[in-house]
Amino acid sequence: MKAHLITLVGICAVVSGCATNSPIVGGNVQYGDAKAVETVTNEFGSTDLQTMAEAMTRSMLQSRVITRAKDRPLVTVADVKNKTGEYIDTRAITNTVRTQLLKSGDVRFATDIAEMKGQTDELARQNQSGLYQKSKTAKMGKMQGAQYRLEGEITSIVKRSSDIKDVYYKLSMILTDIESGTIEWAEEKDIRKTSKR
Amino acid sequence: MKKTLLAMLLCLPLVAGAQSIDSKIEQMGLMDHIKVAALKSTVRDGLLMIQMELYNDEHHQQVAHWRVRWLDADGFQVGGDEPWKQELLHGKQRRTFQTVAPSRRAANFKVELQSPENNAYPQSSHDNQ
Repeated sequence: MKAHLITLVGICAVVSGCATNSPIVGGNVQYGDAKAVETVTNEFGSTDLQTMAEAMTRSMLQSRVITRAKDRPLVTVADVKNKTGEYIDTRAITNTVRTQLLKSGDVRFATDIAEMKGQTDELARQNQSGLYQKSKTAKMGKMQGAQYRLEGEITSIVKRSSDIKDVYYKLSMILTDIESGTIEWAEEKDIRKTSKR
Repeated sequence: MKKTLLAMLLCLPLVAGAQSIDSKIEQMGLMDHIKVAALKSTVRDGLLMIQMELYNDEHHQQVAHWRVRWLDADGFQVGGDEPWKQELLHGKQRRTFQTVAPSRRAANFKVELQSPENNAYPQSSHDNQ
């Protein structure tokens, strides 16, 4: 009887593939901390994106445009120009800034140029296709124009010696009053990264 | 008796301040060389703002990693996890870091702080760095 029990346990172990209690398939890949300081190379990385976006957001939340506003200001996002020598998806920076500002609850965002086609296509479909009930369509001519435009540029200075590479990044952003053309807020965030070969 | 009471009252803010720093800092291993010299917070335009002063008591450069966990009045986290920031402190340098909350809902905070040289690692790992 005892021998049968041991055999049964052995068979179960083989069938289950010596599985552990962890809900993992495979084991060659590990998920990491998405907010950890990334120092794999000194090219523009996730930590740079996150810290720059955070610095911009926190500074803008303290600006008079927001703190003195009666209603939440309506902002549109323009480009962050990439003036570095490397490929940087600057839209990722503005998207993070926009997300954090929206989550603060202090700012509203109007549809920007990059998203305008999707917005106008949807309005046209609802109003011109004849597929929707008139009373339940989003009306044409009700879109709101932004009061402020958020834009900026990222630059870099790269220096190399035989054994050291030094990269300096600077992100500058401004918030412009669209009607008056005045710059109401500006901020800069710089980062230095040095690596040895 | 009156003088003793006055002296005790004068000391009270210092003691309370020291206690509040400890209660606001979460060190991931007691740091060997980086010290929190000061930590203060205030509310400006409805936003919780903090200022932390770090001091490197070593002659060599030290690195510190920090981020803030913002909490609302009920103790729930506000704004998600912040990215870790890596800061360089030169030998014997004192540096001040400021940040503000991501939302006006933040009413409290905790500073997560870590330096690679701390008591959570055995001495041998210090030697390898």
